[in-house]
Amino acid sequence: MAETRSAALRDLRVREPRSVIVVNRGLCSGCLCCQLACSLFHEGECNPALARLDVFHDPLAGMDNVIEVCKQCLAPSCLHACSVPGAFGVDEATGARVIDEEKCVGCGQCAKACPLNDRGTILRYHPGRKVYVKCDLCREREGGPLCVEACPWGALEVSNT
Amino acid sequence: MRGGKTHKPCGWTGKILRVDLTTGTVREDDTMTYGRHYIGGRGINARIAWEEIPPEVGPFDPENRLMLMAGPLTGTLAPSSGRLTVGGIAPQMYPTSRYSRSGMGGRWPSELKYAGYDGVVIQGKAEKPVYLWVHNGETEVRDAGHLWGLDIFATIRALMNTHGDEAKVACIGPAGERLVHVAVIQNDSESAAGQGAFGAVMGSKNLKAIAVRGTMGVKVARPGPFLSMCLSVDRRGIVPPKMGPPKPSPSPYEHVQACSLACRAFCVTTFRKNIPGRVYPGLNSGQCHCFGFPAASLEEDFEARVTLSKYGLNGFDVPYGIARWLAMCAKDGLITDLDGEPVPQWIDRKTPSRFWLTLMRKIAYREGIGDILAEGTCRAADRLFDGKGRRFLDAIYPGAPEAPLGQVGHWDGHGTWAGAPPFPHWLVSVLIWTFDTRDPGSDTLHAYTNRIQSWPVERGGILTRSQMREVGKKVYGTEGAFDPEVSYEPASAKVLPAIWHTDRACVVSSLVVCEQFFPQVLSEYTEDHVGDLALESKLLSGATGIDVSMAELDKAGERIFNLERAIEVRYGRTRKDDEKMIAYYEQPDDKGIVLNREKYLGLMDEYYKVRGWDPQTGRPTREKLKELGMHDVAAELDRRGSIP
Repeated sequence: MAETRSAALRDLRVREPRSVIVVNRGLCSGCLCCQLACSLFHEGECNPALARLDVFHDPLAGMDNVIEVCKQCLAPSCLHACSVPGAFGVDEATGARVIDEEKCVGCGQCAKACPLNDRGTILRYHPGRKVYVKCDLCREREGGPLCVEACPWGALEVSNT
Repeated sequence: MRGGKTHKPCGWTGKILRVDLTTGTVREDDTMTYGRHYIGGRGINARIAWEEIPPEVGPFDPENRLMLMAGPLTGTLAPSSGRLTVGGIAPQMYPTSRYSRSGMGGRWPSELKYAGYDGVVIQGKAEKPVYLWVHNGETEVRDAGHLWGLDIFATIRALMNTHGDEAKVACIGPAGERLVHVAVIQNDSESAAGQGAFGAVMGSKNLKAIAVRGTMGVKVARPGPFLSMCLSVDRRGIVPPKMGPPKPSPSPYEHVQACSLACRAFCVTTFRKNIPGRVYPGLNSGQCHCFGFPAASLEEDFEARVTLSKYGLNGFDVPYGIARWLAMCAKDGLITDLDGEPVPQWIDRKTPSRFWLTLMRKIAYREGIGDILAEGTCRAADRLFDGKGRRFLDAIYPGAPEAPLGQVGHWDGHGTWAGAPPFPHWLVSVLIWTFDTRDPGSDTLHAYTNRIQSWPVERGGILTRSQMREVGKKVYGTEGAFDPEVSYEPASAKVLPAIWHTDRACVVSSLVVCEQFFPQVLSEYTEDHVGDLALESKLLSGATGIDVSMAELDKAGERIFNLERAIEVRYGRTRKDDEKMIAYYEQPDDKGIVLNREKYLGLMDEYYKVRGWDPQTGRPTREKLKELGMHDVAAELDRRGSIP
């Protein structure tokens, strides 16, 4: 218990992210290219339900598409809420808030703590691997976030902080 | 002939959901029984129709199959992959109902894949109204007593309330419930399968809706290469440079919304929004592409579009078919008003929305004269005004009243109206119309005509006549394909592109992707301006992991079209029926040019020859069917004495 607490305290001083994905809702056409590319890259399948971002459209509400993507918060509630040592951290190169799937136990504390995760789309439960997954700014990819590249309309942008 | 079984396929989910509403039972069939030879969508539908729907079956018989079939690319990142093809005996077909097809985009088709199915085939008839709830491989037939009578938007909302706002709902409105012959199946705010009136087939089965939710995804065999292929595709692969990249509209009343999953926005489909007025203020409904209501103002146009979507009526047939015919009858003094609402003598921007709303209400609810109009214009013309309105039909319905189509030529690809190509290019349109089994305007024609419209120098594009000749030679094997000086001679110049596009359209609507984007005939990227003609096969191979060459895929397209032709032959179709289309094109186009019947018969001869069909009867030969691997089809036609 003591060790868990100290790990959490250490994490309170998280590094700032190097970049974040910003959204221009008005440009989104709801094609889901971002979600399909994301799940294809990270999961090897086209599955919006496993994408690390979400485009929601209520066809009857007459509203623009709602795009939900991790803001890589300066004070990441998800990271602070995680009580498993080493399961949640900050990526050296990108500053992305990332989950270590090897250590994640799927408890869901992070998903509950995130104030933007109402729909369960920013921190998603992966039913196959029984862990949570989230946007890591494509840290393993040379060109940066793939969703930004996949959007035909420029509705997603990388903003360097 | 069927393909071998494979394990846990990529691209395909591997399962087709079969529902018998008479018994209330469901089962799963193996997609790969059909997949290798018929791909998906249009191809698998044709195969199931051949095996299970004999020609005696009528559209509203429980034995009719309602097939909503996606394909191996549906739900993937492949551009414009969010579609499926609907098949079955279509009530709208005239003079006799017969097998036909329609397409549907929106978010429903991909959700079906994510729920674990490549398609749904519905047979039988429920005793009472029901709906299907399909979620991650489980299917329930549920009571729909509380939904029957609701309009399409109300039905979608009710089922989203029951099953969560991520559920996607395809359903019918009052028109489908009343077996209206222009009733659609719709999902989202406007994505509908309109042609053929499959909404009425759904209504005849007492099936109000199919709600789906899936989180299982579509497996991709080669994620890396597939990903780069999909992302390298953009508008420059199809439109000339001057058209540039698509730009979002700055208008507060318009919004570019993809009508299909993974659409990289090639035709820039614009939806209306924030429209003040008396219908669902702000609802995104009223796609500004391709169909619309000539009406006095934006608000009135929007009211008519939303009402059409609520009732579940066909957006081509109501404004361009039924209303135009009524106006011609009004001009002739056959009709003056509908419930006191004057019938205009000409459909134009002065047409008040009151007329549209009255007309649609009477058709959808079968009120008064609407009960007869609901049978479709051709059948209504037989019954109303002592048949005096029949003479107007052929101006609206190509081939009517004799040709076995009976749906509005929403776009006949002829003349220079609404982006159609001028003579002699429209000879290709005429050929495609002649041999199709329905209006090919929305799923076969554009691929050829769009190129003619935008690429040649004389039409404001960048390619000279000699460059266009080169492209024609490389793509179709004939230099005359895109040549404005080549008309009836040599016959192959127009016949080869017609056949190429017909077969390729079969592939495209089997994968299923959008015909506005595939095939890529011309491109800005290449030196010779020939597009990536093998893109379909590369995407299919990347998704499924089964290497399929474009030649094999084109063969599959040919197989599918020949199978559809065999279905037509089973109904008795001959060359004489094909020739019924000629009269429509003997009417002058907007430049006063008419089809030369004698010379066109020569083109038809060449078409049969290249197809390997008998030129006397217009029927596929035994050799051709066997070459395509359809020995059983040849054997049945033989048994029926319908093989040349």
